[in-house]
Amino acid sequence: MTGPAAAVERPPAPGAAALLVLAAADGAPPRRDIALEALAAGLPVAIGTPAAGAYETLDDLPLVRLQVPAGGGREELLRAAAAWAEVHHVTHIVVLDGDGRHAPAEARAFVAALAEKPCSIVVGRAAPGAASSPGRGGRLARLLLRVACGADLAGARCAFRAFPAAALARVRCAARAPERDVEFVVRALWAGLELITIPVSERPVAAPVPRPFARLRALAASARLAARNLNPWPHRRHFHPDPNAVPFSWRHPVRYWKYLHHNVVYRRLGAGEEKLSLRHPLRSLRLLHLESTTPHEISLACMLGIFLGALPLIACHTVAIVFYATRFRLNRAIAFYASNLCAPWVPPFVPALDIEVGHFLLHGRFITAADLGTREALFRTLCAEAHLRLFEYLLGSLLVGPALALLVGALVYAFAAGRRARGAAPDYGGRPGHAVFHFLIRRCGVTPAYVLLALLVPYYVLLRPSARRAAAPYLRRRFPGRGAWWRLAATMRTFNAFGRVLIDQTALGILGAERVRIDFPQRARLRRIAARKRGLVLLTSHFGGWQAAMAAIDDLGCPVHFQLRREARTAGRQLFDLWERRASLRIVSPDGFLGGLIELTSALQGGGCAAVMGDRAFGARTACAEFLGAPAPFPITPYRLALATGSDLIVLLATRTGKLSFRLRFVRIASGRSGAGAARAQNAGVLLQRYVRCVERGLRDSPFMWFNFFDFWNSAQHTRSP
Amino acid sequence: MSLEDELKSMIVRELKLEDVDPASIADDQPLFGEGLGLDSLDAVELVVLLQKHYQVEVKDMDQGRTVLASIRALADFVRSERPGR
Repeated sequence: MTGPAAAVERPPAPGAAALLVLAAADGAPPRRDIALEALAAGLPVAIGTPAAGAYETLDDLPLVRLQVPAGGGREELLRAAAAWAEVHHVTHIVVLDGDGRHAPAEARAFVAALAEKPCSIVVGRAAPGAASSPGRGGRLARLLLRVACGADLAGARCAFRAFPAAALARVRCAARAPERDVEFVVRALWAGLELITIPVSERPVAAPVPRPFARLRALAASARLAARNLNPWPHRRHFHPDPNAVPFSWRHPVRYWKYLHHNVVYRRLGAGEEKLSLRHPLRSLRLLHLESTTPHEISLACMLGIFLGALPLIACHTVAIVFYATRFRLNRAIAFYASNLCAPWVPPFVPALDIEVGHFLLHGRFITAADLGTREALFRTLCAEAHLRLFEYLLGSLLVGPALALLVGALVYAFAAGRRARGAAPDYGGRPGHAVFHFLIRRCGVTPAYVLLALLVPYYVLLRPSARRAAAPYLRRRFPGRGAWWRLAATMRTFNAFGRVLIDQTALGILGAERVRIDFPQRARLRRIAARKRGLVLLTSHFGGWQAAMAAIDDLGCPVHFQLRREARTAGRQLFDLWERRASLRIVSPDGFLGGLIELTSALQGGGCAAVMGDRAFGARTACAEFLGAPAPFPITPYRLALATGSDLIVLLATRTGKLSFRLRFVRIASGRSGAGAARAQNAGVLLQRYVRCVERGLRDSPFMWFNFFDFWNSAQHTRSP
Repeated sequence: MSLEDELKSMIVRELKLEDVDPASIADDQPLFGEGLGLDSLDAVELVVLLQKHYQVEVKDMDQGRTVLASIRALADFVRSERPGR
């Protein structure tokens, strides 16, 4: 987060105008050979002169001698260097110990980095195991430093570093050495400098005398910095890489807001030229979903949202979540969504659990219904003891929040990592989601599953641009002229309808066919047609509950051969299992030899039934037909199949009419006619048109029942003349 | 006329392969894909034609894969399955 800046400045590129300062390590003067190496680097080299005659070995070298007060240490030396730099128009300082631990020649790399990014602090990164390598600071201290500034300060302990000379005047540190080195880096980042780390070599030198409680001191210093960063009060920002930076001013708040918006929010998103804007809420929402979406970042965002959501930050949850998600560079949208699991407008399990746990911690027992008494007494009790409940809420949330956050974070990480390992795009469903629905349907019935679905669909549609894109082509053609907001609502309605159909068909597989009501007034007529034994092609579509409807046609007197791609992860797995248990339905894979058409042809020749999807080609030939005002590719296989075998051709349409309830109807579009050659091809085209008209009529009555979630009109299918 | 030649003529005539000369079809030439270039819809027609002209039925995918491999395989199948052979 960027705080107000009283005087934002941008140092110029250093070029050769950098001062190389050789600091005295543990009071020892810089070594002569190191001073010579430093001079060879081509930069002005400075040393401190604490006492006359102390550095006789360096007297003949052309060094800048800085006056340091008696007893002054590294800090004083650097301040003197900054003063010298200001007088001599030197913009940057490179500092390293003069004990030979580091090679001065490597200072050129520091200067080169600063030439590219002048508004930076460059810190050397020693190899693992070296004295200044990151492992010495302790993992917890390192984590706290990450919390403090959002960056991995792997080399913050390294004394070989470079920074703008002005930083010494702007950045104030409270800690003493050696924690001061780390604090300087953190505060420099807060002040607006960018961190650059450069690998540096490290020579063995005499190890400094360890101070007592060094680790504890480092930990305390890190914790103090982390705590300061968690404080919402903004840091003073002295530097900005942008030469056009706008400092905060009460006289021009809009100008500052525009600058902040463009340079902080927009830059953080890293999404090309697009940026957040209240005028484009959908686009802004999509951009928010793009940031920080690796599995561990998603998991951390969920943990943050859950933890803060569990705290009794009444009326401040959203502000706190957005603030801390921004500060920790996490996905704000995901953190916000996750926090809603603890919100009181979903069943308030988490606040109730917080209060119960808090009560238990204070009194050693949980609150029971007997404690609450009658409804009137309950109201009086709630009012009179509100402050007690609030305290219990706070106390309990400190235990429940982290536990719940860890649990949800672990689950989300496992799920997200699993998705990524499978190479799939981030998704919000899949096998764990199906398992939850299956459990609900099996244990509680379909109504809780509908409720969960209704809660999830808005998230699903809002979180997945691909979901909205998938539904958009149909909705645009079915409802031309409607706006984006209407389409968003229609997308949710479509996915809700789709989810309910999936729940019903899963219930059909789990609970049995007798639990599902299928209204099929034409059943007897269909039986009569099938009884003629001249072959029957049933044409289904991704319209309504076609899978559930197939359960209604298991009494035709002959097995139905259904050309269908079986997918292990489909939501209708139980339905497939049910079908396989029944001898009346046989699944024919379209991925087999010649798309399984041999089996279908054989079945039809024997007077049996074949069911084929009328809107899914499975790689076979397609032909274009006018569908909802534009040409769309449809498979031609069913018509050629029916014409070649002289079978009847029937379009089946199944509409979901309510809870576990479907209405099934059919239209016969061909009755045992067969032709040859061109006439057959022509007839296939006519039959295709009839099929499309039937589907269009179905969509006129039930517009949210089209479940082909892709651009059907522009799908890359093999299209040929029928 | 041999059974192979009969089958070649029938395929060219019924499947409307206008640019193909029956005599140019080799007995071992694959019927589908890179060979004669038939596809799944042609397979449907072919299975129906076999039933209609020779009263033999190709029942499933495994059998179809063998029988519809070439003219020779088709002829062998017809010889073995034709009633009254």
